[in-house]
Amino acid sequence: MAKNKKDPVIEVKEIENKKYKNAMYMSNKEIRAITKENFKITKAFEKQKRRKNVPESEYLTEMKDPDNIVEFDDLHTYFFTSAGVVKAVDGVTFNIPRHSIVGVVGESGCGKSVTSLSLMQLVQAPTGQIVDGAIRFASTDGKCYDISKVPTNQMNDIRGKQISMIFQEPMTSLNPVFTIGNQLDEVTLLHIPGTSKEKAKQMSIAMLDKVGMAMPENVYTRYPHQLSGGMRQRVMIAMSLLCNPQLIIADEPTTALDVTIQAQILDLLREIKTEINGSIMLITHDLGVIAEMADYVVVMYAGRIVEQGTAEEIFLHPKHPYTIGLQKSKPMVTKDVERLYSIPGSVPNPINMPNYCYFRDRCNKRFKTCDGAYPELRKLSKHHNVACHLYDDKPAVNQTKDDNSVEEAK
Amino acid sequence: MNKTKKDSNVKSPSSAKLTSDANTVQSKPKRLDYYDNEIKRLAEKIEILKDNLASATDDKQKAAIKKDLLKTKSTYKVKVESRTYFNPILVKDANNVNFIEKQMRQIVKLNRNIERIKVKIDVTKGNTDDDIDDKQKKINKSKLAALNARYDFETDSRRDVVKQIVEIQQPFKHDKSNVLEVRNLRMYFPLQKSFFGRTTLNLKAVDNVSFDLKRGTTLGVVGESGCGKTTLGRTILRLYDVTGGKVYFKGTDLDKLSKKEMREMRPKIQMIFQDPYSSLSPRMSVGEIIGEAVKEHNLVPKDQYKDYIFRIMKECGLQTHYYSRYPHEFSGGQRQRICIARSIALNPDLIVCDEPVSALDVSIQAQVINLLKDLQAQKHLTYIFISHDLSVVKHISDNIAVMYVGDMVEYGTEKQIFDNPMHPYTKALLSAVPVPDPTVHMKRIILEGDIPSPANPPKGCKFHTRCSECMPICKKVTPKYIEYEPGHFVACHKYSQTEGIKVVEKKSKTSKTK
Repeated sequence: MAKNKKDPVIEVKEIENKKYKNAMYMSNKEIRAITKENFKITKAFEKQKRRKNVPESEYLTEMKDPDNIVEFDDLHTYFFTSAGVVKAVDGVTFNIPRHSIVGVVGESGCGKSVTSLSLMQLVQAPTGQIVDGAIRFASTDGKCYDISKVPTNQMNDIRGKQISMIFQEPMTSLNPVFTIGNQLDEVTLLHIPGTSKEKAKQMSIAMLDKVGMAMPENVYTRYPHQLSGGMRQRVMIAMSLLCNPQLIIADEPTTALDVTIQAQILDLLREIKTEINGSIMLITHDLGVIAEMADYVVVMYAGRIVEQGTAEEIFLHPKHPYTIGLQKSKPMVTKDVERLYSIPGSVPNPINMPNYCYFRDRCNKRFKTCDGAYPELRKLSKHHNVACHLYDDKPAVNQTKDDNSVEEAK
Repeated sequence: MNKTKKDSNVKSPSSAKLTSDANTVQSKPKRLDYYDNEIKRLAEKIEILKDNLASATDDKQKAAIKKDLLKTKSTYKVKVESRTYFNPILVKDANNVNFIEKQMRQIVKLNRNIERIKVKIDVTKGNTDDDIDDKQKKINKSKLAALNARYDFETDSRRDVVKQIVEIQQPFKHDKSNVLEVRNLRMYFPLQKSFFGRTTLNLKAVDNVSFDLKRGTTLGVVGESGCGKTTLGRTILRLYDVTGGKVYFKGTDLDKLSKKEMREMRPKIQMIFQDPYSSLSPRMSVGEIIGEAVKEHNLVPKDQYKDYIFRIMKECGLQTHYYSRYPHEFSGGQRQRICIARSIALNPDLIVCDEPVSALDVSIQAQVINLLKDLQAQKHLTYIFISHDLSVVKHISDNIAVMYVGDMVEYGTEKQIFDNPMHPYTKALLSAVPVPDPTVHMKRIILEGDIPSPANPPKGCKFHTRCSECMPICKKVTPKYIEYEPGHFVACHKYSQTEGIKVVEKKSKTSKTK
């Protein structure tokens, strides 16, 4: 039995290694040629972004569905590295409806963080660029921005004020040389022009109190290193809430925390969502956290969406072999399993992606058609979409795009 | 009257006499009987003296009797306190008796001093309004606080020393099915030192932990970060010098081994570290990494060396042509496989796995866990699996130990812990684990606040600051580590058997119902 199980693993590794070698060993000449080419491409993108006095008509669009706050439409974010082009996000389409939590799951390197950073225009420039596609964002003033085209100047008004972000490691995202109060005040002073310093302080302390911090006046004067991990994360949440954003992006907010503190923070996030009446985009690799928090789930693998749907659909009726494998490989407190299912092999090299289904080499249900082109997203139910050749008989999402919108029911 | 007084005066510094007697007395029960009789005699004497005090008329006589009474009372206290530490074997050695009595005498003395000063302050308080100004009051207060602090520290340290002696003297029976037996293990790190080099503040990373580990089973150690689970693993490996307690590996006391003997023992106890990126040397090839210790300990003859390494690599799911590759060419999961191969190559009995899967992705985690389980079944290995991920620990362990700020709070089989958690901390920990199933909604017990600092843990039960079921006694007395069911140990006042505590429990219950 054991031998039979090991065989596909070894096979996969051999394929993987061949590719690895090609990507690994490059001559200096090749590297130079690639960097030169990259420079040309990225320069053009940067020039586009840095223009001043851009007419609004260039970046204003209309939402496909007014109930959505954000629509990702066929987003492509590439990194132009000296080893080649890394397609971190390669054609991602999903929506974030108002007043809901959308969870994005995937292993490390699957592009979930880059998706969120693209929404903030925070992708590491100049190597990282949004190459294609649109991110439509409905602003509070009734306008609708296409964030992939908004110039940097204009973006500063949106970023932090209407969309804010909570990062994974609260220690590295807080500045160790300034007090908590100083850093909190900065947000209000920057984004709400005309506020006095005293008012900013009042607002900061009120926000610290809201976030459940004991003795907010005391915390206001402290430095980040004097707080514990959970308290630092609370400060980060307070900071993201200061300007009443419509959308909070939480990028692995609890990964660096203990289980008991994680429960506290998740509770807080849920409370805050109802209070500000906004949406949360929750990015994590922990399936448990997603199941508990999210209304809609997006499963990503190697830069593409593999499956999406409501939380019930994804967790109770998963369809894609990757989603099924991911759930089986996670031990559960409530269930006893003799042996964990493990997905053989590992994620393919991001440079030189295969032209067939990215998951084929690790899949336990692969068949002949899998050698063909990458499968399209197929529609199973109103919200449930899968990209797998097993469901080729179902209608493709792109054909019925107009009546597709995931959030219509809401 | 005078005669009795004189007699008592002669006998009151009886400890010196006692010890000289002690050396002559041979059998243990006789010796303990003698001690009990002495306590009885002193108790009777105190009553007699009390009667005498009541009946005495002369002032001078009264004062003398009072003095005597105080003395006998203190010796009585010393005897009673030190009696609690004695067991038959300990009493055999007269030096121990001397030492323990000495420590207890110091404690009683300090206590008496404090009471005296309290009385003084109370007396002065009586005239407060006129006689004493605020300054004096402040001075009195600070004096009292300082004395109290000193009393606490001294008594604690003295009791600790005594406990250690008691532990050393306790008999140890090695059970052959056990690979590891840990008794009252303590690991303190000195934080502050006084001018003369005495430590004044300790970080108690591991405090009084004991357990047995059967061959071929897995012990999961769970707790929040900073609770001492990694330190526990490292102290068992003797990577630190132990502060107190014993670690018996296959019946041999690791602390007593010399450096050379310990070196021979090392291959039998191995460790797998958390971060596979930093625990592999970037300058050595995979073959060298796996084979380094094998060469060093001469486990395999030279001509079979390469075959042996190849075999180990195959067992761990690594291909043999990886032999000459370097760690940076591998992904996290494969690196962890290299780490596992490195420890397996030495043919160990016990492997301490310090968060081996927490740095890996979910799908890779399952691969590594399955590998560890397969190897255990093949080679009959014993694991100590340290992790903060409860679902992983539940999957892999037979027994589970829950730690909180250096203490082992609960210990039991996997079923006992998960089906019937006893300690409020375990309950909260279990309820906080997110379950990947949207239909399951667990009743959350959300703990407030953060973990207390292990350098300055709260008094009494260390968990009382965050406990939802805190009782008045929890703030004062540290709970004892009790075997509640066979194989299921808890340290919580809710389950302690003594009567006084039960009363308190009832009271708290009634107050809740009100």
